[in-house]
Amino acid sequence: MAVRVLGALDIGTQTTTLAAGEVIDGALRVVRVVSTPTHGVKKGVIRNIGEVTQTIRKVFAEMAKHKIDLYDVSVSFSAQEIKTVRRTGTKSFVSLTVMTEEDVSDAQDAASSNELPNSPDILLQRFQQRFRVNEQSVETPVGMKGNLLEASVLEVLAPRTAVEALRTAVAQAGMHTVDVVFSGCADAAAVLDSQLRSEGALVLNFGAGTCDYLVVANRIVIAAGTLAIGGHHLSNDLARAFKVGQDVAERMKIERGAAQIQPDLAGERYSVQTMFSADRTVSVHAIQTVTTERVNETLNLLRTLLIRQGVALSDLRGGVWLTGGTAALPNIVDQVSTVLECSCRLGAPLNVAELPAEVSAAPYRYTTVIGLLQWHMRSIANDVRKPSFLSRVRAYFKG
Amino acid sequence: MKAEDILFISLGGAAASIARRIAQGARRDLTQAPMRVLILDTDDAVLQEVVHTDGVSVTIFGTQRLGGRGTGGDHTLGMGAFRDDATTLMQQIGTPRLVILLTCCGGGTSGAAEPLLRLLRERGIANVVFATEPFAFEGEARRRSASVVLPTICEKANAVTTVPLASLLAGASDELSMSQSFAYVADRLAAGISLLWTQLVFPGYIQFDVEYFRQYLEQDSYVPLSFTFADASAKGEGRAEAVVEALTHSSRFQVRGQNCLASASHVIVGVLAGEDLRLCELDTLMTGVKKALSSQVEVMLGTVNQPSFNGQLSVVVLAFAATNTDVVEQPGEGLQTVRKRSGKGAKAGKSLSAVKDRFDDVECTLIDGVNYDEPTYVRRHIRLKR
Repeated sequence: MAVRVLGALDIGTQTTTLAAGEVIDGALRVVRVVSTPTHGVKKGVIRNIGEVTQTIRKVFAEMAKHKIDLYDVSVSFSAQEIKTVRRTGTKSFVSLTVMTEEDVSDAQDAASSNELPNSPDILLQRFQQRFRVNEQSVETPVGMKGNLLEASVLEVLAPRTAVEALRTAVAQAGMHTVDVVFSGCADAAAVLDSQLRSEGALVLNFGAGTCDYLVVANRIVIAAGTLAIGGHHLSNDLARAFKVGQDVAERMKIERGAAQIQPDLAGERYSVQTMFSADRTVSVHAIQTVTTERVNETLNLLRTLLIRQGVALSDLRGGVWLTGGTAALPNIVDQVSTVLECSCRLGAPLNVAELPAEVSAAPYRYTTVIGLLQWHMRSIANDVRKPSFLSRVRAYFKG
Repeated sequence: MKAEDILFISLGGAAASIARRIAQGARRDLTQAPMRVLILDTDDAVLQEVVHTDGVSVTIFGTQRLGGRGTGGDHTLGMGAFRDDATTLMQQIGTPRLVILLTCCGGGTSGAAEPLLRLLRERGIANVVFATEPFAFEGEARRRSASVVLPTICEKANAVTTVPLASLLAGASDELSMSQSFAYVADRLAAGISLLWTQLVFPGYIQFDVEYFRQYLEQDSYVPLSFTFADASAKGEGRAEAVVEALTHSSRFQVRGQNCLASASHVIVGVLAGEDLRLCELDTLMTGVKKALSSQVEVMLGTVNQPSFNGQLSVVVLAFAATNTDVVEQPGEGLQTVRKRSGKGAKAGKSLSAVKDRFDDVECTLIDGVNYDEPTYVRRHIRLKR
């Protein structure tokens, strides 16, 4: 039997990554991961479709060098304008009734938004929340008796224009977008196992353009969103502080930036080479002051947002799982633990049969693209199990 | 700006001989406004060399420590000597609006530049520094001393140009004797500084906006602006074309294999000529210079017409580094210039400003009324310890 090759494309603000995977005996094997610098994206949003198309073509060409031709890809999405909306739908009964799957489905349909073709937002993901039967919270209402069933869902919405731009860029590069997935969901799919989902965990992708987060507790996604602050803000702060170009600042961040001041390095000086003046040096303490202040502020802002969304951080026994390029910043794990008052670890893809060597070196950088592969794999499995739309229509008319 | 608002300071013996040339040249050609020159040194031998003229004063400092015998090339002694007499020296400097400082790094007295610049800053006196690097043949000790002193100058100055002496000689070194070579180098530096001073002091038909220049220098006191300069003079028919040719092909604008003119963000063109300067010559000059620049460069022009310069056209060009352009060293590919697009903000207001912001052309991250694209340390008023 031919093995189906799955594709996943993560167009990040800094790097575009394409992964190819295959499913063997129900387990995902990541065959190859290739990356290239992204052009035309800022804070996660496509600013120039042509440049992004070129970037995608480049990464596909790179993959083709390994004799892997992909056509269908799942694509990640992240942007400042990501919204999460909690909706509730009900189904009431005249008398006490035993709830069926059909009743649950009706309540869920009532909760779900009706997406209009011209609405400004597009639905990316919908997560089932807890049910309530006669105002009592339950996990699965099927088989329970009651006369009021409430279902609530958490919907992740994204601006239609931005998502369409993403689809267009992929199409112009000659690929087909199977699914657009919120980056936070992809990261969670890669990093969290069922135990962590039960215990409660926050997955935080601290990328170059954005911080994407998703909180799961008791197997339910309770909060998700994006903060349009990322590693580029750190390097921009450095560029402004030391009057250097963005590339020099980026290198400065990578070589001497930190999320907490490092006493052993703070006394040193960092040499900056510029074109017109003699090489000059700047204090490492000053560099780390700039980066620590930004990281600290971002994490505190995130903490405030999570609390506003009703997340009790102390209840997340699974802790925080940090992913994304900025996770490479020294001491950031400690700083996340301190600010969010949770244990924090670097995230790595779970439930993967085999990972390429380039991923194993820094797995937290690739969680989004591998999560997309897992998402893609689950979608295929669900499609096989689910009756098609046509068969559901036929069943409806048959009664 | 009046002549008395600008003070030219030379620091050290080598700088003193250049200061002497500048002062003499100014006296000869521009008699209306004597240049205020302060020659600072630790070696009293300089007193014998300087011809006393109006506006020029010579001060030997650190005599208690050094006995007027100089530092012997030890820059730490130069620094200490300045600190000993800092109060007196600063009284002598007074409160000019702008200081042009020349120091030849490699000598010990140049060590005084850092404390001097720090005190100027504390008093709100804008400064432009011309710092030279020694010739390679001057020896390892002078090179090492310069490599220590130059970064301290770069940290404290408002604007700085580092001038390798060898770069001033480029193209002429083979034909000149040793004494002629040193004189040639001194003349080149003197000409550049004099032309800048002239533009700042003398009103012309096209006035150079001095206050604007001063604001530019002081816009961000944290890191100095860096610039490079070249000058050219020509006489007779076709002088504008000759000046353009000399300037645009000047080795001074070739730094580490890169053309500083092509990558500059702001350029000052100062023209000194006689009353016979024709508009078409000015047009030729500016068209030629602009051809060497990128289209987004802001050019400031000043012209000074002095009868004593009839028949002559002298032009100085100062090219300020494009702060959004950096030399990036790529393994195996040498140095590459990376140019970023300039956004709408780049033209807004007096944007001689500084570093291109990464988020200029993207919707700002506004949360609860706070613009999080603005650096955190700025919003929190954190003073960075350099």
